[in-house]
Amino acid sequence: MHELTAERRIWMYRTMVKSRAVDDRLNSLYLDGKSPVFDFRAGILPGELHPSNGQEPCAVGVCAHLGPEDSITTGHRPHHVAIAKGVNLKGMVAEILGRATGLSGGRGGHMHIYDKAVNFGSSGIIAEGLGPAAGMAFAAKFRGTQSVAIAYIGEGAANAGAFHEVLNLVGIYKLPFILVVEDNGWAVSVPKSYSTSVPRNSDRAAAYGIPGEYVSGNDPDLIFAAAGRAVERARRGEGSTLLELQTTRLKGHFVPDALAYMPADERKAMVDMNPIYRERLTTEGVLTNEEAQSLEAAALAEVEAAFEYAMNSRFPNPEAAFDCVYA
Amino acid sequence: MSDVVVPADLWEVDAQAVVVTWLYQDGAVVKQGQVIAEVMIEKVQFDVLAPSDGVLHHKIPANGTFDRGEAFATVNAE
Amino acid sequence: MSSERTLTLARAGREAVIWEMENNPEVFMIGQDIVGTGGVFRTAEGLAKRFGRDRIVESPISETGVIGLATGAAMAGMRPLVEMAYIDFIGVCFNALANFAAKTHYMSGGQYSVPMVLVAGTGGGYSNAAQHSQCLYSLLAHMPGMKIVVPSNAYDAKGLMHSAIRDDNPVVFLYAKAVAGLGFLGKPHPRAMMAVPEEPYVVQFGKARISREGSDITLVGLGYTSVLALDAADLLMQDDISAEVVDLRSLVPLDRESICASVAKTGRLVVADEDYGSYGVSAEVLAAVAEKIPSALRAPARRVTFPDISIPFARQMEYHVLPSAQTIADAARAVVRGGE
Repeated sequence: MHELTAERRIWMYRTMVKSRAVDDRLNSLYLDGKSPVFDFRAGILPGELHPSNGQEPCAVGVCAHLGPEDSITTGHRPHHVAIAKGVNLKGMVAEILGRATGLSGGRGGHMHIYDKAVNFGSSGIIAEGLGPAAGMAFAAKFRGTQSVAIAYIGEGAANAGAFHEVLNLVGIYKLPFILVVEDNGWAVSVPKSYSTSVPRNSDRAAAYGIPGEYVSGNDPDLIFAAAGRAVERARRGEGSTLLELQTTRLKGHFVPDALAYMPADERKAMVDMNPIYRERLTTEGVLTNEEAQSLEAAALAEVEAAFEYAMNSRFPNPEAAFDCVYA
Repeated sequence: MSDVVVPADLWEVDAQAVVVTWLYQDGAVVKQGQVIAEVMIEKVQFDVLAPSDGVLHHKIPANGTFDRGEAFATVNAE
Repeated sequence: MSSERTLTLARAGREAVIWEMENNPEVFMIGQDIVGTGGVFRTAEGLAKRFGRDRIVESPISETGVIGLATGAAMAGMRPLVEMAYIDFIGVCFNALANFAAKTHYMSGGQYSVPMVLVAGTGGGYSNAAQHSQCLYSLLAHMPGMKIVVPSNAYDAKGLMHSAIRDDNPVVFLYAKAVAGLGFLGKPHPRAMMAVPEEPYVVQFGKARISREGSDITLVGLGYTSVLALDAADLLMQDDISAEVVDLRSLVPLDRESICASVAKTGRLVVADEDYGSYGVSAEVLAAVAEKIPSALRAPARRVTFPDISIPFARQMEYHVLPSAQTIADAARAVVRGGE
């Protein structure tokens, strides 16, 4: 099992910085051009945008244990997980901006990011990625590889039928599967207490004969530890694990979200882990302040290059709409 | 004559508002409490009610913007 | 006495819901985000404050469970509305709707009825990609036991919603997003906004509306394409082509008589449908003509539909293939000129 080395912690921090830079840039590109009457259709980045600001620890803590042969499926809030998984950043940004050079040639957009080279896929219908991740785990076990498959969902998805069906399946088939539930407390405007009959979905794992663990605090190091245990179990053939990770959705459900449905004191109490993790690493001597700054500059430069690539990429040929319907 | 404004407590931010829809035409007769316009501030949409009975006069057209506290219409007693 | 007011389609439909809820204590709504935000398509805006959370019931993401629950409540005599946000989500719970809710009256020999309304938004054209832009009209219309309505304007929306809630059958009430007048799609479409009476009224199911009279060609539309067909008719006037526009507004039951009466008059037909082209609404309209008035057509009919592909994200691709007033008018001109 991977130890929490300084190198891994630095990787996690750098990836959190990179992910945040991507989301911040996307947020501002998104709002550009959509005034005065807000219009999804308008601007350089049309459609919906579900930013990952605040949830970066959930991605880095888990992906620190993964290689390209491990699979991930996730949902409508994919950016941080994609970046942590090592998805081609230029291709991802180009895809979100609807360019021909995007990972799907502009067919998918921000909710539908796929990079087969690192076995990553995201899609937009809640809980639909659970079954496919279980299937990738099934294939890994069938072939006798040590790969694991991970499905990311939000806590709202834990009330969808697929959650229960798939957990039962991975329980009976004893698959190298991990369910990561990102508990940011809200499913669009519905708080967990309104939607879920138990306080912790990790407790539901017992109903399916698999271990469940809840990690509080949105803490990359704690998430790293819990994920390490789950990945180790899976690789050793001991079966599946459910990890529920407390996290924070700093920007709401989608851009723009005024968070009017959230109590004001809760809104104000939201904590951004990025600067806190930086503080921890510098305080513990893992990074000097100068090293942190240099790391941040390098991450920002990489992100800037990806956006420049995307913005300079051509748009798809309209007739390309007809390709890729069938293999 | 009453001014039609967006209630101050709905307008937290220092941003412009835009009239999305007029439910009643310029010159229409309206009654107090009727929803007369849909207004958007910072991407959030609000209903604005007629402050009194009377004839509605648009000062800002649909898709037009106005500032915080500005009257974007009036209702004149007949 | 106040003047006429012009409402958006979404607001008009909501007005009907409010009236029905005020006049029947057993009408309730269940769905995601209806308390917190009034629903992603504003179908429940303000309702939780007005009626309380016993009647505006916030649900988890559990479509199969929720449609099942609503079905059972309906079987017990209540009148639920299920707010399902995007029609695309019907995939998750198709059995609960089409195999259970829609078939219960039949399978029970008429003992049970299911007076339930499923409300959802349809359509794309705003870069929401493959899984959030679909219409799925034919998927739903194909299944026996449910009624399907798609208003194209505020007046019809209110009247159809009153009918839907009062109907003793499962009704799928679809808001075409492009014309509904939603807060996130810019200015409301002017053709969809209309003067709406304050008092309740019904628009009958199974009756199409001739939204524009004409003599040279019949354009049939549904929801968004009904509005596009009116725009196309304006374009065609510039070529001295007089187009009659038929707004289907009720998919099941389908008003085949009105379709055929119009085509019998004009002799030419273009059907415009935002749904995938094959096996759908447009085919059903053509079938009605082919079966009832086969010799009425002076030229082959055409259909302008979304092609049989997943809906692409990039607007260069999506807008290229989405039906538009232009493509409808082009098809009409081709039919009139007898071209290929």
